[in-house]
Amino acid sequence: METLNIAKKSAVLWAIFAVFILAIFLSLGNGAVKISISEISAAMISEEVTANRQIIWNVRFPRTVAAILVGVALSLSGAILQGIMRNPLAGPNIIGVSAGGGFFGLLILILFPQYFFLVPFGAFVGALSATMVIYLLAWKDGVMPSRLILAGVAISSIFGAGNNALMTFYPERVSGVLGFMVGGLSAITWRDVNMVYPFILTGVAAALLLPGKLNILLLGDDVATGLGMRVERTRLFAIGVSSLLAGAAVSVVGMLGFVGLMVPHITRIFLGSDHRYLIPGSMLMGGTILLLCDTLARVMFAPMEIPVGIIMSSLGAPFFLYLLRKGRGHHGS
Amino acid sequence: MDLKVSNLEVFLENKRILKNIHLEAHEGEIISLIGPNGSGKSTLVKTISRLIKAHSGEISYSGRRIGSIPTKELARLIAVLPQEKKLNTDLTVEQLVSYGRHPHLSFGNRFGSEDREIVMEAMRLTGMADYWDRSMHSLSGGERQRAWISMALAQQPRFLILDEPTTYLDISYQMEVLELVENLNRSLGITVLMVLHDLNHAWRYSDSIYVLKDGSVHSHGRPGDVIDRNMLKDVFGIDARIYEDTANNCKFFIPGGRTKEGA
Repeated sequence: METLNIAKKSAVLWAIFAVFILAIFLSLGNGAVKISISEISAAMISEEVTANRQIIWNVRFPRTVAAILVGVALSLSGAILQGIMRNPLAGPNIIGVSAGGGFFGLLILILFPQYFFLVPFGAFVGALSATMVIYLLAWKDGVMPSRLILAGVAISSIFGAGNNALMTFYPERVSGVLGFMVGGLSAITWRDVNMVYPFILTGVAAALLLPGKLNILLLGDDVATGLGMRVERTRLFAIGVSSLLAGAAVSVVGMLGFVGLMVPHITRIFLGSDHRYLIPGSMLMGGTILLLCDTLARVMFAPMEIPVGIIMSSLGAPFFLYLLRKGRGHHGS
Repeated sequence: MDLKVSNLEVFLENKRILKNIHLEAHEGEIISLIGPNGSGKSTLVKTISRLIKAHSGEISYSGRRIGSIPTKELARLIAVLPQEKKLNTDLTVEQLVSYGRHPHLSFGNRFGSEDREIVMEAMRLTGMADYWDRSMHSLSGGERQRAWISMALAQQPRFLILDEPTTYLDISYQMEVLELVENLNRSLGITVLMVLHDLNHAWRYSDSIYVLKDGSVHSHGRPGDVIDRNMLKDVFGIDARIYEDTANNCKFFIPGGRTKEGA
């Protein structure tokens, strides 16, 4: 197998970055009202209050920023989890982080709808506590990745049962929570963005300490220990970072599945498994894919819009399968 | 710079795997651990490599308890190649070997030109320099093991622990690896502690041998003193004839048959 060289990998990273910038403009410009690039730049610079400026500043911008934050957070969370678990199936929605957040969010929406504004906070707390429970359940003289994933799948299914129970007992309130269940970015305001960006930026900053360590962890716990790494401590830190990211994302977008699993794999096909490239690549790729899918969600059946979660899974999954079949890279184990 | 194990006891899942182990590895020697499956050789090297916690007893390196040495510092003194190693698909030899610098690096001390030079030298020592940009997956078993050993050398250790370095390799690759280990020992003075399956290899390449049986040291000493018909019968349950290899100035044996059930 030919090995990708550094120049080629950097070029691929820049290419993804270019698409990312393009996706930002597509996201800002498209929706119920189409706005051209020149109008976007005009609205960004000028002080004049126009209808388009209102749309851009109060609707499109927060939504675009939220899509980027959520895409980055979920993809990064998935890339970290797949790295430390050495398992291609790991992802925030597989190991129970998303399910925990989702259940707490749903609990508030269905039982105490008057406190809907607490949903992000509840989802965040839920995601972190689910992670903690999973970690404790999997602990036995250290945490073996496979046990952690199994514990996560079990916890996910318990939270899933909880979600179904809530919806069965309160069928009249189900329609109100559908958006949260499938994951969507409609009605995002600056308030939502302001609430989560500190968490996501913290997570991103912490994640930038990880690539070298993740590379070594890929060689197995024994080799990593031999190289002087404190494996359990590193793994706990990485799990903490990824659940912080996933929890923050769930609190904005609801239970948006699949991004966290899919994006690191797609990135790996283009960039390989070296986390020094995979981590930034997954962040850019995640932001790009979520922006594109959310833009599609707005324009496909305009003026009606559909939740981005539906687009993500219905278009993303087949594309993902196609890449997996033709791709040369796959996750090492 | 000797490694000393005294009165070591190790439990795994409430089962006693090692008891009353005493072992000394003197600087510059090649020490081999042999013993039948389940005798505790792997557990012993894993405990020495801090992959398994000891229940009681002491392991010290040049007078310091191993548990009291910070793990990164220990990784600069002792390099470990465990049996279980994983590879991702697109790792090159150079990348793998550069991971050996990990214990020397820190947040303020990133990988630099000096480290690059050490990595190159580590690959030269094992004859892998020409393969630096090859993917690990494109290598033969022997080359791959040499690349792993280069990684361990990049740690610049004084002591090298190898857990079954020749397992799963064809006979010529087994020789390739053992000759390399012997060369590194002779030229760099690195002390080597390894688990070997093939008793004749242990005989041929070791300065000192520890024979394990049922979690304790059955016997130890120079190869010529340790390996005899009684030991082979007692520990491995085989009836063997022992011959003299004059070319390598060592003994070897050919098994005649088993002497008892299940040994």
